[in-house]
Amino acid sequence: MRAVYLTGPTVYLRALAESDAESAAAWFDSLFPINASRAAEFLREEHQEPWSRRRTLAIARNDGGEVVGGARLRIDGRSAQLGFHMAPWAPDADDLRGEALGLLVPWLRGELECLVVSTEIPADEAATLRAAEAAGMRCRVRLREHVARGGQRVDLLIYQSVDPTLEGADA
Amino acid sequence: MRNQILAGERLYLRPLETSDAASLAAFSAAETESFFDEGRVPHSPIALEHWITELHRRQPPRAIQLAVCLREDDKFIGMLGVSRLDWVNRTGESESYLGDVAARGKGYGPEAKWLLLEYIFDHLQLHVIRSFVWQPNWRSAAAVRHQGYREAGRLQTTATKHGVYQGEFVFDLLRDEYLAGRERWRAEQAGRKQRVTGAIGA
Repeated sequence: MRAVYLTGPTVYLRALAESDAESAAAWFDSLFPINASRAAEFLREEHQEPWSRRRTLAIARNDGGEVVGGARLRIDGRSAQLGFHMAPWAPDADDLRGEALGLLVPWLRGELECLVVSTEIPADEAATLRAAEAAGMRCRVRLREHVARGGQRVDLLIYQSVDPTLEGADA
Repeated sequence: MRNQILAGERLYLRPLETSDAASLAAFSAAETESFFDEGRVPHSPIALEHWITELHRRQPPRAIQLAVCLREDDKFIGMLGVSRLDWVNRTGESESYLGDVAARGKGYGPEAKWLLLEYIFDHLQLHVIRSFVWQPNWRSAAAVRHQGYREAGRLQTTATKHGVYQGEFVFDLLRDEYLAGRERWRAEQAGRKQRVTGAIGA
């Protein structure tokens, strides 16, 4: 089920399947965990029709296929919103998320022809920030102290990749 | 006042009731402003009633919407609230809508907003909130700046107005800034009252 056009050196993206209910902690995008039965129910609810503009893709390692995260896509007209949830046990989560971001942004902009792709990245996730900039995204918003991290607060950055025809259109 | 959560001088906030759906539908039909991102749209009370019911079903909620009512006669004039609530990071997005056209321009908007901010920071104990303002809505942008929000940046959207792609301003507000802004607003209100009293006495 690996999407050949969404495959990088370490990870690939694929659609979720029933068997992913067992590893929901890796991909389910919520601060609160759900068990396997609720995850199975969620998968059925979310996959009522194949052409939905809202979907979650599994992020899996090329080596062995372990699911290490989920990428949430919401496409509204020519605008796409990207979100990530990474497995709490993955020590290289930041690198893996960055690689997934680097696969998704060119696909959304180039193939799906989205004019704007947006994503939120906490300011301490260095590898993801590097990947966003390498993918041509630019930081447009800095929300102060929006993320709690072990007694400290971290800014939340909103990055966008914008089609040149829109840049400065309203300036 | 019924079922009030917070009360100010002229207004109070209460939970949004399904019975408010008819008024919200009437507000949407009588709207005079067309700068909203989706333009003016007549909403059905059926859909609004369903939306209000669903708002209260989930606990803890992802969004809280409160009705703004006049103290003198309980008249419902609009709603405001906080959405995208994140109970772990203690953040959310503030929203306000004074739907009753006749109630605009009388200072109810700022009074209601300060009640909402008190609810957000003193009751829900959020750490920071944000606000997204559609660029053509310059009045809302000016209002949130006046309330002490800081500009966090500007996002590009694919929505258009008058054939031009528009952006949206993003603002944020920390608890300390809310407290400073509230003191400033109270001092302005006190000064205004003094001037009115002085003019009447003169």
